[in-house]
Amino acid sequence: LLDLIQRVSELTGITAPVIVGSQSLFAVTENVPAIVKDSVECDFLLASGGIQAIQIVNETLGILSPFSTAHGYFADGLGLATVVWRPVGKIASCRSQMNMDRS
Amino acid sequence: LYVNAANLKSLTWQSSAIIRAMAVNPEQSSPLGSHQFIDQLALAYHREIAARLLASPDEVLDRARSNLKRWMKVHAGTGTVHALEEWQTLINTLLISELVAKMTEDSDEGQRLRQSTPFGGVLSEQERKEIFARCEKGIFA
Repeated sequence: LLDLIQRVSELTGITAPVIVGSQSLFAVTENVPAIVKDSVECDFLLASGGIQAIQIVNETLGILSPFSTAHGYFADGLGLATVVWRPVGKIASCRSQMNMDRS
Repeated sequence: LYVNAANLKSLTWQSSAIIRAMAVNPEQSSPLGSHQFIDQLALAYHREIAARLLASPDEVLDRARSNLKRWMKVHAGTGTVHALEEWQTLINTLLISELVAKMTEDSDEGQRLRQSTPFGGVLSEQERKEIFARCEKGIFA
């Protein structure tokens, strides 16, 4: 995850790329559901970099890129079209998933 | 990772930056930056890989096995290994026709599997770029 953050930052010039999707749970807890730990992809919201930043990340670090073939993980560059702000529902569904994983 | 005062300040700043970007950069809402586009792209890549798999199964499966072996070493001891083991089982137990159906399944399950695809290196960079351009054209058509 840290490697991807650094590479996305270097590639796009965005100093603090925003992680959205499942991997963003790591910002608040290390006790994440198994589905998050199993994942080999990380979603980056590249809101300040424009379409060019999204394209370059998907091309260079995206699924089936030479980078992902070499390392076994990849980045999805996303814009605001994919992001829905639903904090209450999201938190509730994550809590429920974490409880299910513990039981 | 821990959330401390500095992190919170940074997160708050980033949220404002996103809102500012929405206001000044409408292209950020383009379908090109949507997860739906990425899912369609992954499906298009896998349809091409499936065609290659039908034509030269040994070559494609050897590459997938070699990727899985290498990645399992890289991800040893992490949860990611489960996703890789799942693919290893599929590759070792399914018939080619079943594998093709699985990797090109247009469903949530198909998308989940494609996210940990072991078929890196089957398509050349040029082929990958052509498929990307085709999908890009598709969403603006």
